[in-house]
Amino acid sequence: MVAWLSSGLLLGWSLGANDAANVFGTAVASRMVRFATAARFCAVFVVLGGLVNGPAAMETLGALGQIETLPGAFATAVAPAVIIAAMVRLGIPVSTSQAVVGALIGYRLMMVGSLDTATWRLLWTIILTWAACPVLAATVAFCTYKLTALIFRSLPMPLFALDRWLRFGLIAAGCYGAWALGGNNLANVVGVYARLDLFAPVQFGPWTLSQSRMLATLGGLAIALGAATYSYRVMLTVGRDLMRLDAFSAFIAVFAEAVAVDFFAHSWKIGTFVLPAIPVSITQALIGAVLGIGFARGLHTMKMPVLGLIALGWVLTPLLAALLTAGILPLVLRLG
Amino acid sequence: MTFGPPEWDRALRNFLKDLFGAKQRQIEADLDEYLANLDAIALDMREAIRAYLAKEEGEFLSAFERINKIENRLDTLRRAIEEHIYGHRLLPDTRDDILALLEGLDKIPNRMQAITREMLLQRLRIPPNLHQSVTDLTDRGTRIVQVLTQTSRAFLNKPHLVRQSVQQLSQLEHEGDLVEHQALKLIFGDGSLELAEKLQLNHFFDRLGSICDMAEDRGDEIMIWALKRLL
Repeated sequence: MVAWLSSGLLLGWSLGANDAANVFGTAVASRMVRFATAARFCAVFVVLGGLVNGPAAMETLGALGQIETLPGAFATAVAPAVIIAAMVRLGIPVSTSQAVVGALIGYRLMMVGSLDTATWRLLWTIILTWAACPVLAATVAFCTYKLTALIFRSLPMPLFALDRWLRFGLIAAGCYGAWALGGNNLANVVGVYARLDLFAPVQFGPWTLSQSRMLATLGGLAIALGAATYSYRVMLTVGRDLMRLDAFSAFIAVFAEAVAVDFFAHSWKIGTFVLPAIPVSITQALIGAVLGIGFARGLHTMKMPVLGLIALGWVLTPLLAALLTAGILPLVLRLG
Repeated sequence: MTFGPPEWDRALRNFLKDLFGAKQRQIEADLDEYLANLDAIALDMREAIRAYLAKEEGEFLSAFERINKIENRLDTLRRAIEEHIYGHRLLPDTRDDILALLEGLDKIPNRMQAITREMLLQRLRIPPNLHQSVTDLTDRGTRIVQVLTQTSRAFLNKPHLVRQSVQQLSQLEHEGDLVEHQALKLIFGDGSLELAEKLQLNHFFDRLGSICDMAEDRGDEIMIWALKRLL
């Protein structure tokens, strides 16, 4: 079983290595927090977020893929890992959520031949959510920037006090970001196993640790391991080369990104419509937040080639993940 | 009470110390002492020049001695602050602004020390009709340094008050320019002075007046940093 779970855990490790930069990149790159400290905070909050909020989005991906066998789950997790590695090598921004959803669709098409109405509806909801996430992050960033700037302007603070507040804010926002990442993106790592019967529930006094919580813990640990072992370089790239934000903007960006990602880690009922918990891209949320800050400051400096690359990633990632899953599935099923 | 394994515990304790500013307080205290010494060196330069004009050699030498000591102490403080800033975790913006502030301010005591040393070594002869100009320009230099230290303190503690201080710096610099211009007219209009003496005095007034120019430049920089902080 460990071998069949390994592809998901590998995906979790790569997710941690890549996405920890979106929550602690600025703080580490500016040498404000030591990498070891940031990695520990990130690890703790990713696991906690995953444990508390992770199962909701896992259910959504479970419903989308309806995977009933371990080899099927293995293939659906290994394909996104390969596609992500290839896209990163090509320098195209990539979303783990999009890769995993693409792989799940590939699995369904290969196994069933078509998608039923409910799956189509869920797929469209997911796609619209992906579009809404950066918009939500931008809106939160815009409003928070304006409001916080107003507070700082009306209550001028000594330089060192401001420094302390901003440092605290950046670290708190980073922890919240790690919590949101764990809660939302954990489904990408272990969602493919959600419908399988792998572990019997364990009783801890009055608490029962269900299979989904156990999977959440495992996935959270995989993400935490990726953050702790391999995210330093990505943090430097994100915090120093891609987004040289001042501390105040970095705090707003990470906070807004975390709010947006955390929002989609929960399911919401609006009238009769139920929006399920949906894994989104934390990178795209961050880009949206940076754009929102740009609007709040009256700067419109987003580079069009960057947006073009993101759009390319949007189309290519799920498509290639679906094709690769469909391609390797017969082979893996035969092995299983 | 410990928090997990020893290295986790140590990391968390260091982090909390950094976060709640225990290490920042030393930097704040050093900065405060630095600015107080900058005020003191300006007053000692004024005293040295007054004694020089009054031909009180003993007074001049003891003021010169104090200037050297203070300049030395300022260098030590600057290095200590820079070391602290690099050693501890301040935000990059704060770090850069404080380092730039110190590097900029540090040129002023160096210039004051150089002016008084040149007076001592060159045995500069200042004609009596220029005494008032020297006194006026020295007063402007002393006053402008005091306003500059106020501006620096405002930047550190009450950034919204920086603009007001910077306006005062500009006014004092303008007054210094007028005094210097008037003095140069007197120097080059005086037929009894040799060309070498005229050039020597020109150089002296130029150096003395440069204190006001430097202070105004520093004020302009501080103004930009403060505006940046006020978002």
